[in-house]
Amino acid sequence: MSSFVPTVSDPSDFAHCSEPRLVEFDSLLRCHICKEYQTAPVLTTCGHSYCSVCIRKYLIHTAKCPICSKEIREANLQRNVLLEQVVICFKTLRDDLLEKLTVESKVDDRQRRGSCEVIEIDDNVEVDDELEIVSETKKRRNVGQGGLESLFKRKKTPPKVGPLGTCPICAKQFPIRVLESEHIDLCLNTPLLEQDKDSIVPKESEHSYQKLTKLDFSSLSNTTLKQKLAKLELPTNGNRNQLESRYNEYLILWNANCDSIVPKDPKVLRRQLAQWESSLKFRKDDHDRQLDKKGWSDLIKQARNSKMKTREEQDDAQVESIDIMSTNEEDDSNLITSAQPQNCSIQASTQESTDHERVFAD
Amino acid sequence: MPPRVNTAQRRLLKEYQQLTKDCPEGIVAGPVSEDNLFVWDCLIEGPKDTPYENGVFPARLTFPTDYPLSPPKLVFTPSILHPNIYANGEVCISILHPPGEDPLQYERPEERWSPVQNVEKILLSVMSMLSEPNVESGANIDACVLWRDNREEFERRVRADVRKSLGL
Repeated sequence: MSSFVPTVSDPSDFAHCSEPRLVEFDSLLRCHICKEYQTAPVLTTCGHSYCSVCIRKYLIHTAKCPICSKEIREANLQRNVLLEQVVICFKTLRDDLLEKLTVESKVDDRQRRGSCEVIEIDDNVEVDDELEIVSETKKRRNVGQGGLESLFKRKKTPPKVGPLGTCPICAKQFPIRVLESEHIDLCLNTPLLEQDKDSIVPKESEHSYQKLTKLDFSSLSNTTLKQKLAKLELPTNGNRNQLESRYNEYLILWNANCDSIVPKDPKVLRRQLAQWESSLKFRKDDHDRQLDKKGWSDLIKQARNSKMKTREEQDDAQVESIDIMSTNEEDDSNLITSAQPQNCSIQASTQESTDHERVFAD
Repeated sequence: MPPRVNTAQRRLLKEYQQLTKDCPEGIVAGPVSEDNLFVWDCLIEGPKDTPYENGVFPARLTFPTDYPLSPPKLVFTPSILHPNIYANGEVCISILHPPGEDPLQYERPEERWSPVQNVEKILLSVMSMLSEPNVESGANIDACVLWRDNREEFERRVRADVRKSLGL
């Protein structure tokens, strides 16, 4: 089980730990559109929060809030800085929290079965839940240990957070797990001066990225459009449609990135754009059969035109996109195999299927 | 070559994972193959105290490439007799319709598709559709008429479908 959970994390990861109410907390931090933790969250005028990218894409489609269906406008979206900080903070703590709470619940099980080896491990308790502490006191007294006094001591000692490592960038110490999973990325993306000495969460920083504006394509010539793309260091190959949708997609990625307190480097955005384009190619292959006659002849026309003009450019671009793909292929296949916990073919009868679920639950 | 994992695929993976962990009673759903997450097979159990009881109905969910911005399509294979299921098996309920599309104004916007909905909610709506057909906005007119005017014959034909679905 644990091998696939980190790749596709899910609120239900907390369902079997000693604090299952964290399932709700975890799901509150996620975007209703992509179900991931909110990235560069923005607030709508009706008070709901989504990833900036997700809601911007949805609003092109339907100008309504997905949760309450009130009419909203892209121009009125506001950054939700505090939420982003909370999300970053929780993401950083998540693995540790999960591990500890799982260990803890195993300990509780053993306690219930009447084992006495509990006391040493008690010191690992991190959550300051009052109820927990009271019940712990009782257990301690029963076993005849230090009672309240030891409790106070325990509270004062900082929680153990696994082996520490030093961040190569800011030279501060963090648990190695945090360092590897989150901190180095954050540190690379945040100007040194802005970092608080004791905080995992970066302060809101003033970055220099300016939002891009929508273009009125009807009044733009091909050459001007290509110049605009070139200025943004984007590829200028492909037909008019491709150029326009490339600009529009990049506009969303860029503007959403401006909403983040830890904006990514434009290089990362350009890579995302390239990935988006290559996924589009994949989809096209997939849906060719559904095209009608007109679609086909249009496509053939487009293909002829663009191939004549941009054969060389395309070759270059292909080399580039293959490069990107090969780096991600492994991740992708991991993700897919990981979401396929076991042999999951659909069962023929519902009785069998409930058995099947039980296997998963185990 | 494995498919690119984009937003739609990630979200589908998540929903699939969640359904395998905790699936509502009477529903099974999952991708047909791991190469293509955009097509799912589902099995839906006929709700109790309806003519569909004891039936297990296979259906196919087809997701658009911009899922969850647009809703998936649900088709019963084979089709079953129901006022809200077209003769070709396609299910016609409000949760599968995007908020913009409602020429007849039958459906309230909050009942319709939005990215907040998910596969689980769709399949649960389908189960409640099986127990309570909505003849106001029928898809299969013959089934609507039969349901309204000759309930006995309607239920007899549904039970025949059920037996067929069980291979009896």
